[in-house]
Amino acid sequence: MTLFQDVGTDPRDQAARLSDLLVAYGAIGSLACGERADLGRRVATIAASFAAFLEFDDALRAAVYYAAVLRSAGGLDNPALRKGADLSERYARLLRGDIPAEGARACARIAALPPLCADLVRWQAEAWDGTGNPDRLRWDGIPIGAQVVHAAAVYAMASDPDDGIAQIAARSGRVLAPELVRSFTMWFHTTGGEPLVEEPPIERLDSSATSAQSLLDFIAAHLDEHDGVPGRCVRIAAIADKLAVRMKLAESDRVALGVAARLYAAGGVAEQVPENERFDPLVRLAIGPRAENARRAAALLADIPSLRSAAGVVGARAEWYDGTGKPAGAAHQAIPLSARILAVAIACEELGYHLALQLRERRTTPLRRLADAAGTQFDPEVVRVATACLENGS
Amino acid sequence: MIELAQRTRRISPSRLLEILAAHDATSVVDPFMGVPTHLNYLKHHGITVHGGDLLEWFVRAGDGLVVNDLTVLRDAEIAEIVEMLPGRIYPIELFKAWEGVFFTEEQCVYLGVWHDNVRNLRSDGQTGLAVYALWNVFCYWLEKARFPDDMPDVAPSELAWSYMQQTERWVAPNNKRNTVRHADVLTTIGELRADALFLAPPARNAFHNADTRIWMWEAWWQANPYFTIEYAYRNSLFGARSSEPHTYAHALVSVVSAADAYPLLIVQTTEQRIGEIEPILRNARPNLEIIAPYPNEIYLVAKR
Repeated sequence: MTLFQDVGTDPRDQAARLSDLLVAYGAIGSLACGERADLGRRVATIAASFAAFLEFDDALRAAVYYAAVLRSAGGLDNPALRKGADLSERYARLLRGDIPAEGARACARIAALPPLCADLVRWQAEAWDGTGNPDRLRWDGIPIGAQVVHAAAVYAMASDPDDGIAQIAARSGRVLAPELVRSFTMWFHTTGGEPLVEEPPIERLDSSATSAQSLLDFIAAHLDEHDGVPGRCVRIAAIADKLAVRMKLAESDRVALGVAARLYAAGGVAEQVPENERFDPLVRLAIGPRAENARRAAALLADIPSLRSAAGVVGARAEWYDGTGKPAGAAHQAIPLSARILAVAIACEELGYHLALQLRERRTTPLRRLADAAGTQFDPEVVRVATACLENGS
Repeated sequence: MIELAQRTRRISPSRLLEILAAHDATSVVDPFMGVPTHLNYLKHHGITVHGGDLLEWFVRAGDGLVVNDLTVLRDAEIAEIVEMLPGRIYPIELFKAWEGVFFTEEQCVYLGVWHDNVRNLRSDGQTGLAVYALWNVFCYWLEKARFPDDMPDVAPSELAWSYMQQTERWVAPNNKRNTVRHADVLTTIGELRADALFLAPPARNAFHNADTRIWMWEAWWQANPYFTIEYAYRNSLFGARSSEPHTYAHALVSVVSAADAYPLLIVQTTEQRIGEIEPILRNARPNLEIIAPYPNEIYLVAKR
């Protein structure tokens, strides 16, 4: 099915949806880099305010805003952060320096972004003295927009505004241009260092160039590549949607389920080993870690207006039908039907993933195992429909 | 106050890597390499890199950042570089000529001490790392002279220490043989073979307005505070003899002709100077692509 049908043709609504997805992409990248999920948005708010203080034109301000939002997006593509990466500490550190370049490559493929955005992402970690990443540009070779994002990131990562301005001052002439530090200090004293959250500059997104659906699929594909399971989201979304149709799920719930199926793995993005490799999908031992990943992903989605409806689905995917799951210990109909469907869809995909192993060990078939979990882990009705679907080859 | 030149062009190694990858090039030669941080980046991404330059300190820095696969600077070795060692007699007046003009007395003493300590290091790799790291200190001091109240005061040895630790982290092997040479452009092009040749030729008369931070560091390395860049370029292809437009064009033609054996030619230029090089390149290789993300960052990509 096509997600986000309710948007209609109003370009502002489409742009708002795109903007939300970009925020989600940046947040997932932040988690992959070991940062707080909301860091990108905070950096963007500070950078946009500082850019306005510096009287940047609208196009550059929008590029700075989205570059700040997406500053860590490259974390999903970075080989040193990929699941199962086995690199020496020195080499991994060098490769991590390439996160901005990988983010720039990803941004260059999102046609809706303002033109300068990709290169601001590329150079947002460059240092004034030439010791930054990835290109080791120095002095006025670094675009001022990229320095603004860098300053905002330094400030946003500090423990409080006073610490932030002290960190900025300490980096003058090394990480940040001295003139920029002077301007930042003036901005700090003018605004009090806590800018108001502004509306994202959605009017600068070209919503005719990228659809929300394709951007969502793009993010999900990067997430799957990061986890080393290419195409996972496509498979899970297909299974989930089939089950949703058979179980006559409401249209709005199907949309939420579609988003949840693509982004549910965001919660475990920072873990070294993916969920499906750590645990068999049907063991009780996995409840805790799965619930924790679900909680993180739900918190990320709940913060983003147009993805909020998927948060409840993702957050409840680790609940067990018999009430022994986590985080709420909800049972039966207290678990949203979309979440029950998502849980079965994920298990189907993961059982398929382990199929070769199971055949080799001459254990029971995936379908038999799924059926055994009906009534305890899964909703029996959903399992019945899933089994019927899988048995007739659909 | 000393005038520090504005950067007139930008070389982005990550973009260069994308260009090389798009053409399946796995090795590159850069005969005008300058500060070889871009070659260091390409090296980390598996490209076999070879560089050449006429300024010796660039080549020494290349020994540390490009050729060197394993040699690092441990804390004890850094300590032996950044401070005076007891019992050793240092040429502390070596850079006295710069005192008051460019630097303070303390800074000039440190320049003499560091010169002596670096010259006594045990390997080319360590020497290269130290030369590059100390250049960063040198640049910091010159910037500090421009913005005395905006930049923190950091003790020379502490500043040198932090830059050395930072530089040392860039050492990693790529399991290829990477080289740098102290040679003119035509020698470098002629003696090496690679999938791609990367050229960032100097502008006409570039040596007249060369960046102070570049030639002064060569003066430091040569232990000659009166060194001039014209002297270093005196017999080179792009030296004084190419100051006229037609002799400069002739120099560019000879470089492009010498590059005939390279399947891929990438020339970095700017909007201001593209007119000088594009016709020459198009004449030699009709298959020319122009990648121009910014006026100061244009790549001419020519295939056979």
